[in-house]
Amino acid sequence: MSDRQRGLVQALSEGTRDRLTQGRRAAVTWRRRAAPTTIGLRAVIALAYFIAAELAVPPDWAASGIYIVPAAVAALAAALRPAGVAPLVASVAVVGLWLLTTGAVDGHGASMWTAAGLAVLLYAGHVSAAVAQRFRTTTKVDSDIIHTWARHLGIVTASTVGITAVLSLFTAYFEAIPPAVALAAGIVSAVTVIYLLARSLHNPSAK
Amino acid sequence: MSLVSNPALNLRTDNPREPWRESEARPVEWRRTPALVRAVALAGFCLLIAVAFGRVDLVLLGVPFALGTALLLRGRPVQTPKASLELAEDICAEGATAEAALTVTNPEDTPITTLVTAAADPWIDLHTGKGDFAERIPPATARRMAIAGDAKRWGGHTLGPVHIRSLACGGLIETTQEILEPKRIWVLPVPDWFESAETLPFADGVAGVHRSRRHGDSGELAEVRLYQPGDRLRRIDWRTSARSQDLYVNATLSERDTDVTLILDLQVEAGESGGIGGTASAADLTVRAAGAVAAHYAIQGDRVGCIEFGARARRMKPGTGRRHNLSLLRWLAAVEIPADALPPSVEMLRRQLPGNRGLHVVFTPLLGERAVALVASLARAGRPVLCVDTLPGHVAPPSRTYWTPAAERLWRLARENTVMELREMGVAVEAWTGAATLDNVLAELSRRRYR
Repeated sequence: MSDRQRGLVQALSEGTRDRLTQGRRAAVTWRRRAAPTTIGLRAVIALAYFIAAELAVPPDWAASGIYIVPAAVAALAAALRPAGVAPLVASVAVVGLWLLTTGAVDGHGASMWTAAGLAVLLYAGHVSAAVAQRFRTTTKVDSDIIHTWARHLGIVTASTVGITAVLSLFTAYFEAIPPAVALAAGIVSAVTVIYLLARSLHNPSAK
Repeated sequence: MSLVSNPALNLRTDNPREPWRESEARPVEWRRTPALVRAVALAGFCLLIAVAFGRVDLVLLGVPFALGTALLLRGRPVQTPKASLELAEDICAEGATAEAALTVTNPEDTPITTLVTAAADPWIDLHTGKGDFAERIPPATARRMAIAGDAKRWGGHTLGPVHIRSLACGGLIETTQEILEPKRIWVLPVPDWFESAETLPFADGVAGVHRSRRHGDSGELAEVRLYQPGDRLRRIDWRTSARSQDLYVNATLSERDTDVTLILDLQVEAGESGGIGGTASAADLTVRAAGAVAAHYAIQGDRVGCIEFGARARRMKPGTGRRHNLSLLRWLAAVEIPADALPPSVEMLRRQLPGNRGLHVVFTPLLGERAVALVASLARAGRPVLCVDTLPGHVAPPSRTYWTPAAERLWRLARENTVMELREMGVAVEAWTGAATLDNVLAELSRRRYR
């Protein structure tokens, strides 16, 4: 039993004051230790997913507050928890919205270059989240890690642009292929790629 | 029947909880991350939808994921990296840098990223970027990384445990977390500056700097007396001899060393320690003051020993010189004040004291009856006792009720009364304030001795 006599209001106010003091100290410590590189990576994740979400829908949707707020929340969630499910949810949502709006909304056509931009943004968010998934905001990151990440992102972006250019050039040629052949070739290609990627999920050091 | 097969020893206890068993460390191995699953899922999803709906643009959405994942997984490591933690030095001083070297070896032909998260004792303030960092380790190389922090207070502190996780292929695969055991580092107290010009009473050693009561060769004049056979000719006082027509010689007192026994009262802690740059608690003052006094006398040539008046009752044998001083600082760094410990026995401590009549310096905050009883019993036994008050000036009881200030005032008056009673018993009591603090009381002790 405490020998100190104090009322409920006083106890609550003192508790609040203590917590505020502790919070202020924690904020000061965090500000002193925060690593700009890691915070920059997280900013890239948030920006990439937010811009992708804005790009995936028609401009009038993208300008509405009802759309902007959830898009920003999803992007922020992906940036704050890059190791969680948030980046996957944000990516699937963007792809779903793209599929929905390009098929259902008039005037919002599926342009190749817009799709390429969307793909690069989604991949930038994904690969940044992969790099930053285990880093705290106070983790000091070696500059070589950032160089490797930027080089990889550059290579993939260039390749995507190249493939987009090839696909754009030969659109008329692809349209000439009979639908059944195109479907069969697509299924075989997709299954092959998925099989190859799925093999990578096995753990090599567990053998 | 052997003890091992005795069924009484295998009975279950009444405690319903299972006895704690140390879990085996999980082997370090590579595993996929959520990022790899995400990449595969998105690529497959886009490609399947593209085929199903005949949409070339969805192929484009899946292309970077398939291409990037394939590029990253080209050089996939199989062997896991090896990590080890070693202390640069297992001893450092207060305010200095405590440092450990972490070595991570990458046996594979692909670069990896190693994420290091180190923990440390609250008294070791890890430097920014030295406790939480990520480093890229090139293929088939080992990298040595420093985990360092400021040691803010004396004592035995731990640096670690260190959590290590390696990532490869752009974060698509990672190792399970490896935990390296913490290392113990001893932070030696930085003693306050103490220098005393006063000689100590009861110097009865072989050779030293203190004036003893025995005659011998030195510069300290004892008396001028008549020449006796055996006196050296150079001791003859020619001026006195010429005046008196008899031969007189200058007799001198020898200079000898003495034993200094430091008794540290470690029953209770008072005040909050702020480390080397902050406020000092009673234990801080006790340890730093004892270190200062010990350093002064040990380096001067006196034999200095230490005894704990606390739960652990440790004792350090008397010794002299710089090496002994370092050992003494290491001994002081291991001082602990356990909570709810058994109270120490005054009689037991008195039995541990050496039988000679060297100086006894008791470092105590005078916060318990046992400490006062110890000092009083030493004084009654005729030992020269010097009591150093190590209660920090800023220490005050927490404000609990309206009566707290009055109670504190009464307590302080009672404490002053106790100090006066000790002085009346012949104990020199002095508060510790650093250099030359003890000169007055030492001079008083010497005067009493030669009175």
